[in-house]
Amino acid sequence: MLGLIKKDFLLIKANLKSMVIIFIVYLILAFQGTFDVTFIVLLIGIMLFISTFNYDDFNNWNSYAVTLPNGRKNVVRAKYIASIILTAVLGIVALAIEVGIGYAKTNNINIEEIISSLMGAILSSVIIISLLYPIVFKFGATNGRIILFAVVFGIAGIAGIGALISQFVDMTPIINMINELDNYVLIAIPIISIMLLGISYLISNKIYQNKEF
Amino acid sequence: MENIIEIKNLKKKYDDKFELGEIDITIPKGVIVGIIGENGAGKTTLIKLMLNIIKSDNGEIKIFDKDNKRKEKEIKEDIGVVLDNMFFPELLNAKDINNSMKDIYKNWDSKLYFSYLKEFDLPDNKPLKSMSKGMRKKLEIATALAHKPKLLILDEPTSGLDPVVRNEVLEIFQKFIEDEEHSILLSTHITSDLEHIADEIIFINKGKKVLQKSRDEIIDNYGILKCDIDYFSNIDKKDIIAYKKTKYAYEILISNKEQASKKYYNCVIDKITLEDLMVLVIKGEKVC
Repeated sequence: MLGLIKKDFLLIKANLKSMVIIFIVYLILAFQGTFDVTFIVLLIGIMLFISTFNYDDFNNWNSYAVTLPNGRKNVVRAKYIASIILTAVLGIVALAIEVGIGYAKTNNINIEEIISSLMGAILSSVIIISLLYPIVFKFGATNGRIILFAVVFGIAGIAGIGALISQFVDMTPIINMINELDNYVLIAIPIISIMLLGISYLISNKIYQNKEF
Repeated sequence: MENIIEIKNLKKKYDDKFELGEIDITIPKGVIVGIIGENGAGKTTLIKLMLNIIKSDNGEIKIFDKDNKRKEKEIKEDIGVVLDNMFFPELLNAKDINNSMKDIYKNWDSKLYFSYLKEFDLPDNKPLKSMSKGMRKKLEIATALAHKPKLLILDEPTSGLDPVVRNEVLEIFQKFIEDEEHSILLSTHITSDLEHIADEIIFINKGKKVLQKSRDEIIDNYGILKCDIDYFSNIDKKDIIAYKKTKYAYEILISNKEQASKKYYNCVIDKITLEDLMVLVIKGEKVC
């Protein structure tokens, strides 16, 4: 499995050059405060990782990967583990950048705020990974992304309806609950993340075991 | 272990258009076996079934005397694979492939891998997308050999290679089976390659195995009997495997050259190539 994780990171490394300009633009915007640095760094990570699925599909990698020893199991495992490693590393990078910016701008940083924004960003990454990977394993990278967009729009739609309802119904208890959760963010987010990734992995694994190439 | 591959009652159906099987194949140790057949005959399907890239509907495949599903990991440690489509991510280079593969196969030998790269004249730091099709095929073959497998399963390994390189590759294949412990199963369109190196030929047509014989048996016994149109009715129907009518003559595929040369002494009997055999069986007419 280590070999397959390496393969994904080598692909990301090779792909990095072609995406450098996009990163620089994003990072400048982030430093200016247009975007949140943490979110951007993690988002870039996910974009890079999704590109590995594209290359896999484009180059018929999967039909070969399943002929490797324990290939079917390891392909799925390697994707999840490599994504977790990447998210963790980028989380640390984002933290360092935030702290750096904080010192540079005000010489006074609010570590709690930074951590909470980092946790939010990590949770978003985890949600995207957990939703996207089973879809990509099932439908391929190109179709998978289209379906993900549909899902995201669907969720946005539901949220919109929720917002509409909230004008007529008293939502205070739910908002209070969310605020309450905010206090446990350091514990809650890792637990939720592990659960989401676990469920997602099991589904992806099931899909991949039966897939034909 | 006498047989390296044993396939029984293997069947795979793709919607209504194509069905493979049922097929039974036995392949002994220490030989090069060539699978021939036209496009869409089922060669790739058969290879994919052996490697569990696709799932069979029915039947059993044993490789190294082990079930190919239950003992999949063990089996795959000892198989080297080249598929018909190119399969390495094109952004990687040959060094990257070594870096990943050394943690995938227990017996991966980096030294051996780089020695093949040198032998094949392949660069180790150029991304694959800048390599020619032939170079990428050679890299795939080097990768298939570098973990010292006992069996090579190769789908069209020589397609896209120029004649010089093809010969190099065929020599490497021959060296590979020299110790009589190793075996190769390869499918190919280029039937002349098999005439050089294959010990045994499996001919697949429309999803069915129509012939499995040693190359020598085919070359020594099979032939094309040529006779003029009037004489055709004198030929015993039992002797005709398939025939083709040309403008002035009949070309008849026969499986016993010696006997036929005595029986039909005023006809010419030509030597057969695997290509002739394939064309006559697929396109030729049958008597019954």
